[in-house]
Amino acid sequence: MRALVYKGPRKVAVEKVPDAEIERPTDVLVKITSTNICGSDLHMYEGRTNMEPGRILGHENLGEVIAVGAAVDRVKVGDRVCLPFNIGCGFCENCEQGLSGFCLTCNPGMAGAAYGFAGMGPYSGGQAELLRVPYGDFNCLVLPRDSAEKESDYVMLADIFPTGYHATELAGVRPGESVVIYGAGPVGLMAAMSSMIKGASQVMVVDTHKDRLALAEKAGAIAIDDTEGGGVEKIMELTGGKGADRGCECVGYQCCNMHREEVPNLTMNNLVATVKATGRIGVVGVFVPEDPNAEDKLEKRGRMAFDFGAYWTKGQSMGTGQANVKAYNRLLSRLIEKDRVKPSWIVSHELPLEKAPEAYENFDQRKKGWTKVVLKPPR
Amino acid sequence: MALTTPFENAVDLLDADHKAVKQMFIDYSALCEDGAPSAARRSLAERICQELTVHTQIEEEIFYPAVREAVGDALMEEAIAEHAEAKELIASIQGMKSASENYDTTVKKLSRAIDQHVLEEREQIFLKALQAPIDLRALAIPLYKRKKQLMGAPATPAKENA
Repeated sequence: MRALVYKGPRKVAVEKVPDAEIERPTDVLVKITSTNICGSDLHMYEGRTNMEPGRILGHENLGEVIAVGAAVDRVKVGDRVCLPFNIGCGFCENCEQGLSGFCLTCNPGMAGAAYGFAGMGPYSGGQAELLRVPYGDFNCLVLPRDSAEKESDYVMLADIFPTGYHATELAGVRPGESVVIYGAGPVGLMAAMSSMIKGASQVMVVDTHKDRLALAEKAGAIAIDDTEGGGVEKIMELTGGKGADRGCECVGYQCCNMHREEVPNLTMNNLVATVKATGRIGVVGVFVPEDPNAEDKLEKRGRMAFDFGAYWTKGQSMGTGQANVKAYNRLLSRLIEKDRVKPSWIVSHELPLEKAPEAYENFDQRKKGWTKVVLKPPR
Repeated sequence: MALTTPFENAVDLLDADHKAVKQMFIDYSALCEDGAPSAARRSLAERICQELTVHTQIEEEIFYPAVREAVGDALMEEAIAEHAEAKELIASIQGMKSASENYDTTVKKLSRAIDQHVLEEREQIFLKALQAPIDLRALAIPLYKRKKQLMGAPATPAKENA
């Protein structure tokens, strides 16, 4: 099969690799029809992880089931399925509680497994013609009948829609509240959309990319351009000096200041500053326990200079971590089915898999207009 | 009286060592960056070496023989070869003066070797062991017992396994 293979920092190539296949009786084999490039793929692309060359990337996958293992009951050949980026077993203590992003058995030693992701198990990614899905009965979301015409909407259920929604859940967003979201990338935009669904009265999205801020406005949010600084002051003014009720971090450890220099504590401290006293912050941007290639001394050790004094004084609280996609994807899929939301509004490019290397390059450089890429393996 | 252990199974017990050592390696890099005195670095490096020596020994004595059939000879041989590499590095660290320039480099080399080994062990060996019909819960007990025994011994370099 053809697949997008990681070759080393900023090097990826579409190559012929051995076909994915059923390896265990609980597996499902999926022929991929849509697979996205995620912002978190860029951490690996840029060589900021321990990703081994030769591995296939891609954790936002949708396709058609073409084979099922002998122990698979529910999922049938021909089903169109969207795969949560987290791989769960369904039977460990965390999966039982709906915390499938922290599965204890699929990636021994670490909590949480995923397709084609550094440190998240040996599983191949889906930027390929075929994908092996472990514990297929548990992990496959069988899509509604209209899935073919809304494929670019449903594929967002693999990661960014549930992840953006998770940010608002961690932050505890309720109807009528105000929300400040740092990051107008795909996840931030999904957090904005989720806040609107939940009935937030005011959604503010902070970024420095004008094309992305324009999309935030399309979602009904107030775009706050922090290019020249002053974002914090704008939010304080918009909230009458109190700060937002809730805050979402949708950027992660590679967040940058206005000079495109990485300042890992920037968004976290801005959230402490712009969320009201007693407000809650949801952090879904990726932060890492060590980053040997970072320039910042603290970041190398997985630390940051966090404004803990202000955080404590304001009596704020925080929720962190990756989204448990399975906790949300079925319900969120109904919002798509019933035309309540159309998450494909953020898609800027639909490209054949063969064009993935140039898509990575453009997305990595945050080239204007490259917000979300959906790759289409050959049919 | 039956000996018990707080670890649910052999994989949890062995991986707790991986996590502890990983943190010590991160701390070691921090000491180097902060220009900490060589005595402080040496004392941490020695703890790392002791922890790894015991860990590799209980794996080779107890865990690997128990999972070899399920995991397959090739992966087992690879893991043992990686252990041998680590043991060589540990021996040279233990035989080196901590003021020597090579000291930090060798500890960091050990850190990278262990990272690689742990990644493979988690993704290949532990995963296969968990999915095989092996009583990993029972296996935690002899591992725990042997570890306690070895840790209680004076902190001299353990003998290489034949």
